[in-house]
Amino acid sequence: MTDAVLTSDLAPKIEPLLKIKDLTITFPGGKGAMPWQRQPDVRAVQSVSLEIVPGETLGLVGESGSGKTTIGRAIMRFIEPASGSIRLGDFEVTEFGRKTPREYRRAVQVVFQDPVGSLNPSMTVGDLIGEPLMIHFGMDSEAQAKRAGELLEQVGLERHHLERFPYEFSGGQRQRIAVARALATEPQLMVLDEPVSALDVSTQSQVINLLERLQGETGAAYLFIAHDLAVVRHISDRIAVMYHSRVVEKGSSDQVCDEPRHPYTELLLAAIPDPDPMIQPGKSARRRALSVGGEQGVIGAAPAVGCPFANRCPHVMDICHDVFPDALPIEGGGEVRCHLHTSGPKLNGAPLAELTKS
Amino acid sequence: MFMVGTLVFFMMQLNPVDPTAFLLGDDTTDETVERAREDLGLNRPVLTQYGDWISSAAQGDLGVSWFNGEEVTTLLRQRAAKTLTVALGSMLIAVTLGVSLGILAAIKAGRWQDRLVTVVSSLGIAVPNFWVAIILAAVFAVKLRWFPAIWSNSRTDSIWGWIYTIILPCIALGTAASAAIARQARSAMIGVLQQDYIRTALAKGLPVRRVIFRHAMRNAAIPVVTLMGFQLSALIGGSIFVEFIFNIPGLGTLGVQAVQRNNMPVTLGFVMVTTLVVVIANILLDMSYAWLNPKVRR
Amino acid sequence: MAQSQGKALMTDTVLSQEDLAGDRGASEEEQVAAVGGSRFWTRFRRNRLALSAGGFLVLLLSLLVLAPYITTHDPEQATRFQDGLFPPGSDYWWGTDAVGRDIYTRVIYGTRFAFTAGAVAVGTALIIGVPLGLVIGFFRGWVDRIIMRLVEAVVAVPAVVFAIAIIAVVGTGLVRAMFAIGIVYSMIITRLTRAEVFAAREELYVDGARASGASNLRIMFRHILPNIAPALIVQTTLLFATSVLAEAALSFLGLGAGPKQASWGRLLRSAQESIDQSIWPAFPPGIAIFVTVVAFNVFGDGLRDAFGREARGGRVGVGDVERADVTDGASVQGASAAANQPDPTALLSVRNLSVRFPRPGTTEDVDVVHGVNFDIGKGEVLALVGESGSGKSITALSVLGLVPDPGKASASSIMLDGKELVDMDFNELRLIRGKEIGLISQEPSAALNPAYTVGRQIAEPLRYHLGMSKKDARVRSIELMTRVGIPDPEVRIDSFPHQFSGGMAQRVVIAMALACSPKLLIADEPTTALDVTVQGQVLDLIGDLAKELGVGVLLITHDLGVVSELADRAAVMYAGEIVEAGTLVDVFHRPQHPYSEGLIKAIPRNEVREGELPTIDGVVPPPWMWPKGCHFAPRCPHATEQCREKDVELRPSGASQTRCIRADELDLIGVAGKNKRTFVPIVDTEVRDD
Repeated sequence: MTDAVLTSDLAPKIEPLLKIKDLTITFPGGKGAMPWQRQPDVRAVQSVSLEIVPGETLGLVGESGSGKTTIGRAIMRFIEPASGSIRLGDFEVTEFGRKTPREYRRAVQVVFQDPVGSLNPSMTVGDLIGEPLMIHFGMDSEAQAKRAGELLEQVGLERHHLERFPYEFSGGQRQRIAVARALATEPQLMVLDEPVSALDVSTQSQVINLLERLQGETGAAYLFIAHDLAVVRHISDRIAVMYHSRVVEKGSSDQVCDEPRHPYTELLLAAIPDPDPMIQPGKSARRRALSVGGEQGVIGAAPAVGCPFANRCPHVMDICHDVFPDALPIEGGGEVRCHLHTSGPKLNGAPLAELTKS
Repeated sequence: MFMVGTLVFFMMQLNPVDPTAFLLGDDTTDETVERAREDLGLNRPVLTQYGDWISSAAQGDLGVSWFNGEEVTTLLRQRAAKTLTVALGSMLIAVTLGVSLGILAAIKAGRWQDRLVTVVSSLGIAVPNFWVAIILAAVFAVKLRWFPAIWSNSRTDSIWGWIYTIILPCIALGTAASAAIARQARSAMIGVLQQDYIRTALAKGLPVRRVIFRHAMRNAAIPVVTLMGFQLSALIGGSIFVEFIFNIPGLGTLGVQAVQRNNMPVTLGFVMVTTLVVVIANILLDMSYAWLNPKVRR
Repeated sequence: MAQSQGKALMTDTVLSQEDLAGDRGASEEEQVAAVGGSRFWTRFRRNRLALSAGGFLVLLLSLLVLAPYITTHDPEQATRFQDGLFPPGSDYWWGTDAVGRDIYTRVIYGTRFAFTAGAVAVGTALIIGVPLGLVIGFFRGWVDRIIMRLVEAVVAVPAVVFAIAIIAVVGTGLVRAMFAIGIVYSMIITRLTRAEVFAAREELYVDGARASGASNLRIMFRHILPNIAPALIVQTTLLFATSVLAEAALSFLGLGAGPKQASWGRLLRSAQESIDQSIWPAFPPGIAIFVTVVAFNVFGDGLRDAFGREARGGRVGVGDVERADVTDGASVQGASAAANQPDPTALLSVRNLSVRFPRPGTTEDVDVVHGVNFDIGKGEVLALVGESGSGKSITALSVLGLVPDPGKASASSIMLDGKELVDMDFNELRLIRGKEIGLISQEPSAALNPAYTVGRQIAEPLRYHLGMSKKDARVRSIELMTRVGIPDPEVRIDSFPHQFSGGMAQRVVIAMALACSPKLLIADEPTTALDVTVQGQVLDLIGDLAKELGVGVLLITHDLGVVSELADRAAVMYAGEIVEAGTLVDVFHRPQHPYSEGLIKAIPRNEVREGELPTIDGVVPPPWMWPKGCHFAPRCPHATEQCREKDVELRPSGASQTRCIRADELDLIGVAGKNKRTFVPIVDTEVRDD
């Protein structure tokens, strides 16, 4: 986390690097009962707005079905949104023609979750890192090798690894190679899609430390997609929490993790088990108190109206089923979308802890 | 099906050889040739011929043989039964033999039974099936006279006689096909046996036999069934040879003759019928997928 | 689907070279060098059968040219017109056919036809099929739909029949006939290429290349083609084989090579015609065809094996645990001698469990689990904690006797409620499995058989072990489903696994495991594949059931949070050994082993941390590189020379057991940031019950 004190309390005064506004992404439904019927479209992402300032890290947190990975893929232009806007600097991604401009591909890079599948098994490390160098900078093989070697060292590997194939490396090392490849284009934004979820705990910390250091060295902004708030907290300046296609809360990491405003965030925090066996029983009790509703977990399609968390929310009100709440800005920068703040008890931006005090 | 017919029809048109040459022999005048062509409707534009053929084919009338004037459908019907029984009989042998061997090999993977089956089946797919037929015919039919070498209509009036007559060709075709099925069954089975739910089944304390037959087979069946469809197609092709070797007047010999004599309606009819059989079989197999794989049912 | 952490963490059941490739540190060099070179050639060289097949094919190829030099007769000239069938003799090595042509000569010359046939057919197929498949597989759309209809139409016709139809158009003759076959094959190649491209397109590395800015053309040729090439090469080889067969077949029918030409098919035809006089002439050509085709097939199979990983078949259900020697060698100090005897009061008592596997790529065996001891009491939850490569999953499987082939497990004792499981054979163990021990494994969707309803799967152990009738079993299944919290059980009992969400499917698995009221539950990473907001409920369920039914639970996990939610005691595993064991409070707050300390420090916590996250340098060594002495020493910040000298025993330290010789002198820091001297237990005073 760079300059924690400075950036933690801001409504962004700096012009954002990435500006996503009202993004909606749908997928066609599956086959229906009859050959000519289709099931209704799946709303993967609904009216999502996000911003990332240059050089900062936004953590995007959600569980399965939240849509977080889909947003990452839309930014990378692997899928087309149904509506909304994705703007990076001067690029308006939704207005690209058939071919994505090469300069955009240079400005935005990605590191995937799967260290095995994301590197072409029949290419050497040198080829893999050299490819973007050749495409964007027109380097010849000698120049490629030189620069690729530098990049490898920057991520903590060694030059002679250039001739090896991906299968010869461990998971953690492969992620480093993936990071090196992403850095090759000197991107302004790196989309990190669950980059450490597939690694052992001790390796996770290594890779996160590496990413932090690199951010300091290169000034790139990160979109860090993850399902675990604890993992994301350390490296993120701000965090956005998603549930079932909607962003429900945004704010600085400390704010979101210590004083949640949305019941889902509160549930998520309570559900993360604490390794301290003295604290955990209390936490479990809190989690149980917050878990309501029949079928747990996310099933079925996201509703078009109302709040998707309504059927699991311990504070649910009638209005929650009918209308998806508007965004309410929170002091300290950030926002929350919950009727608790705008109707009913009218928390008005205060942390949920206030509710239990009365 | 439609496409097949269209395709073959237009292909036949490409043939530069004039069919009338076959019909009339060498000794003709231009006039006779002209008249023959007119009789056969060859002088009309190609598309008209096509249109006519398609419409009558849809109604079940495949035209008349150019060679001897018989109706094509009649010809086909007479011979189809023989070809089909041979194909089905071979299929039966192939599936029973192939599946059992494949499962055996998968269970005993790495041991001698597996190696034996793998080697034998690898060899089995290399053997030309008509060669097997030749040898079988030579040994069992001609030399030893245990089985008939020629089709005789009198003998085949009864069911048993029929079976007796086709058993050699079926064995010839069936064993060759069983090799391919055995390989596929083995590999499908091995893949299934590595799945988590097999381990769960074992953890439930079920006996090995039940795990294999109840749990594994249903899931391993799908690729095997797919292969069966393909094999049937190959078997029908293969039956052409055995018909030749065992002198069975079936579709195969009819087809070959028709091609050699450039007898278009018969050729077309032959292709259509064989394709029809395969298509029907594949539809049946597709339906079985729904039973095997519940995810498809929705 | 939720986090795929579990699968990607490469659970340590069957080892493969890749899974355990080395990481940083000095040992890395050796490991990478050991793997080295191109995998393909090393594999292929090892396959002697394929190599000989290849050699044989080269030999055959040479015959194409050498034919005139090694034969003495003319292959096509008939010398007699009757009475020609000579038996094999000095003049005609393999005899003659009916018109007096030397069979040996004709067979040798036949290679020319065979290879020409193959070349024409396969060549046609590749030239048409590969580009077509590439284009339609990559771009899809309406072009794909039309072409595929065409392909399906052609494939629907039996191959021979279609070839015959084409011959009707182009005329007979070897080249034309093989061209016809080639057209049919091209459809096969198109379909294969297309399918491969389809699959390759979905691979993550294609996305990666696209992200790098690669153009479509580049992706197709530089990324996808090299990865699908193996499948194509294998298929080409096999097609070569079938085209030899096809040529023989068509020539046999008279549609291929001409009557005088020495193709093997033709030879068979003449043999057939004179079959009543002599069977012999049918053999040489038939065998020639056979041998050539086999050579191609074996070669192709060899290529396929060298390119990829063939499915490894294990024997279903092997793994009887054999008895091992009781004594462990040195360091038997008073307390541990007794400790080596199984504890008869415990529900499960495991002593001296070791599992060996052959090292991948060699024939030597290595231990993946070594000398493991632990006890579980009735109603108690013991967590076996470790990262990938620790051996925790295999340990659990050994208790069930389900270590996959070619692994071998041995122990001096595995006692379940007084019953000794070691040395039981498969069928004896089988009765214990499912009835007295239940298994909950990691991914519920994989653990349930997709082809059967949930009800049948839950009822299965009931009917098998307890002999219940179908009706009774159904009633009990519904009871079980209710108990594990599945709503509407009377309806859901007839649903299929794929119709359940992850959390619900896991509940089904739990119901199945509990069906026969077992004494012990083995839960192998039960929540790794689930969302965290669902995880707690499943863990609660297991915990409640354990207390209520008095069932002991062996919990396998890598997640210390899960341990603290559910477990009573914990045993930390590292590189095949238990390095620390004790109650939760002891292990987490007063760790007695540097690895436990490191693990605790490295867990992501929901708190502000300054500077870098703490890590453990290096990675877990693969089993064949376990160092002499303490396995953790190379990575341990507190290691001394003594640590590396000899293997360390598990010994008591305070209330726990540890494998660190320096445990007494070190002040290791626990989860609350305090060490054993400064830690004071404070219980969370918040309201505990709802």
